[in-house]
Amino acid sequence: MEIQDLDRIRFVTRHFRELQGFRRLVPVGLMTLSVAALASLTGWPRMILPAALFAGACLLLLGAGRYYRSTFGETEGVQTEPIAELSSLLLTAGWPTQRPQPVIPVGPRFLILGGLACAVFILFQLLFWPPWVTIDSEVVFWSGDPAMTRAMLIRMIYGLCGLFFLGTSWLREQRLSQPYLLGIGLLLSGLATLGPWLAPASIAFGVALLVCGSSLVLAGLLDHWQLVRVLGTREEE
Amino acid sequence: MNATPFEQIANLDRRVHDPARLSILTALSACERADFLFLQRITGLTKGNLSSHLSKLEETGLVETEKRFVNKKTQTLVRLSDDGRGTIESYWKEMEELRRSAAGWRLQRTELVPTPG
Repeated sequence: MEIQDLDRIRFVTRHFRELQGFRRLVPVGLMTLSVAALASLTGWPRMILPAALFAGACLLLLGAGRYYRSTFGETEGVQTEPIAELSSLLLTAGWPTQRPQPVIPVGPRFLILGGLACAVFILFQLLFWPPWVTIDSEVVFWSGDPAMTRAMLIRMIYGLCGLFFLGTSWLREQRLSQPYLLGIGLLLSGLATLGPWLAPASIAFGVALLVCGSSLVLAGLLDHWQLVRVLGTREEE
Repeated sequence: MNATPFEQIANLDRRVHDPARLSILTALSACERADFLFLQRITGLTKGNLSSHLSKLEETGLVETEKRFVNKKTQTLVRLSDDGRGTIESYWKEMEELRRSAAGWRLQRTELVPTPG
């Protein structure tokens, strides 16, 4: 028994529900992929693939919880006030050792992350690509250009998804065992900011949903794999 | 006068200073409560071993157990008592102090070793 083993025990117990990838991330990813398929495909695959992906997501939503409960058991997190935890996180700049032990339940945590992601994205957008131009000292709002609006919406999808992954990595103590969260977050944030210049093909609804959906599925699978690796292979010591 | 590292080791709480019990208490300190299956999975202990350790921990008042029926099966839920939460926190503080004083003690010993020549 080493100190790393105890730290792994603490981390997995603390984030047990979040690491159940088939419960949330994979189904949400499959639903995103189903919308991507609906937006991009034509002909008979457009009828079959989205339905199959959606059905798979629903099956996982219904059955994954029971699978995790019967295979790995159950834990209940320590309930705290989300606002108190958030202010503590911000004041300590997310430094893991200074954080209080109690954690916010998964639902409110995702809502907080989503809210933060929206706020950061809007701030970023207003600072670097504001929806107005100044002509002869007069502020003129651009509007009515569907291509520009569409491009902005697509970049917003990348940005929100990227910030979600970055925020999740932050809340999960920036563990070295979870580099994929940081990697995916940086990739998606990069597409949100530099996509139109570095990868113009990525600025399409179908592609954006495909990339984000695949990222969610991949992160969910890796979370699940990590959980199985820790809880599934431990033997008597 | 400060205790030597050996005295600090001797004074460690024996209820906690055991790999299996430390694993159980560490897991329970990271959540509100956990069921028997989860503790078995996370610690890697057999049912019998885990049950025996939990009984000892319950006898000493560090954990509290509760049984309930879920789908006609008994589910055992375990949580740290207030005393248990305080005990595990002070155990980690003692371990940290021990680590620091052991490092200092090694330096003092080095100073006492006569240099050749």
